[in-house]
Amino acid sequence: MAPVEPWERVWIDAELFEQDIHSYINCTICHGGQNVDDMEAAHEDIKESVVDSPEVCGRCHVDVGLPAWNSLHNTLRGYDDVLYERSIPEYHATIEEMESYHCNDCHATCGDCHVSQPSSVGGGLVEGHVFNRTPSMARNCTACHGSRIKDEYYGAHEGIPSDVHFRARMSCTDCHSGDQMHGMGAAGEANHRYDGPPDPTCQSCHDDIVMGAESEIEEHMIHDENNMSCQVCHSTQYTNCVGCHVARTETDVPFYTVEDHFLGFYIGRNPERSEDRPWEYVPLRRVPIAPDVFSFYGEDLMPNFNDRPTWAYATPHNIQRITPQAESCYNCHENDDIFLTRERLARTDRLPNRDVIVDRAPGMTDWREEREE
Amino acid sequence: MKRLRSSVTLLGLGVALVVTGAALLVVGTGTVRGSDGDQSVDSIDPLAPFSDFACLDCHTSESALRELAVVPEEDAHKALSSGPG
Repeated sequence: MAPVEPWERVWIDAELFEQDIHSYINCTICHGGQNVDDMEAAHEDIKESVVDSPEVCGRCHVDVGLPAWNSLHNTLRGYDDVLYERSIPEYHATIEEMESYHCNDCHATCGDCHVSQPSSVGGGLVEGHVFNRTPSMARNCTACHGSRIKDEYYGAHEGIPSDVHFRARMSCTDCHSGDQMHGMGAAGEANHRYDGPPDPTCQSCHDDIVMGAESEIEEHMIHDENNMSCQVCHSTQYTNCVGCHVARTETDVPFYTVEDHFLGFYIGRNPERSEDRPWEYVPLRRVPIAPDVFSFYGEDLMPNFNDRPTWAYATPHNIQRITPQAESCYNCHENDDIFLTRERLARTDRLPNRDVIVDRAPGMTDWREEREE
Repeated sequence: MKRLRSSVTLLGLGVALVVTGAALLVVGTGTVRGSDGDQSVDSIDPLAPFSDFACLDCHTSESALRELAVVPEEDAHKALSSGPG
């Protein structure tokens, strides 16, 4: 994404903005500060984040204000969920201190989606302070969800096609509803993005697709709905990261380094298996966590590191109708190359991933026997 | 006597409805339930006539902003970081 010039980040397009209903509201009501000519005095007591309470937008947008405030986008509680599981309560305060430097930029407020680029990419008004009902895929959604979702969806990796939905000119909001984004309904109860029933599902649009004997598609007929998630057959190689470390400079500027990253497609056992997500096999993505990821802030802050897999449930956004693994039965069955096996893992990765690795790719006979049983 | 009783009942009902309505107005106005409990927003009037012209004059002036805007310090961290974010 092209950087926005510092002046342009705060430039109001008078012509456009005067047509926006928000232009009737005094600047200082949302932003704080003073309505005076002197720049320094004007910015005294200005709010670092405009949306510092659910009332700022929620006073008028009463239906979404509070749910959005409590949504995963704003609270990022999914991160707490996975970090606390690997840690112990005594270290939570230190982890929160780390988060204040390295994670809080990613909290998405109402403005980060509807009026400016997210602060994690430097902010900047998207359209001269006009509020957009539907966020821009390029300047809002993928500004944060960039290195994985955007690159996969746009087909930015050489040799890997873009998502079929991207080629059909679909944007994020064609699948991801406002209710989901705002944490309304079931999404409001979720502790992380794969908590609760999948939303959206492929069947939300492809409602004629069924798995099992009822299907008219042979591949769908011979696999049932508990075997695998749709992405096992219909997604392809995605980004995996190893060994992220965070630190700060002497002047407290936060930064991170990633030891390694690579493209690959790996099927393993479903770590989020539930009634809502019954699939035995799902694609797994190596997440950048490392035992010493936060060593800048303290030694061994995650004593329970091995309690959670480092290969995580994934829903790659590079969906294809026909993928290399689904071109023929044996491209998947008996093909250990695309399965997460013990041999594939670094020694330190074996224990945390004991429940998601497979001994070997399922053989053709295994499936027949299972079906007969 | 029966007519008088009906009138008194109706009057009582009317008074009760007015009191209920007033109570609902008091509870429903000026507060929005937030995550930290009730917070008064009486001090904020989003419909007050627009008067922040000093802010607007500067932030709609490209030349003024080009002269005054500074590169935020946070931009520096991007240069230091490496690998997919």
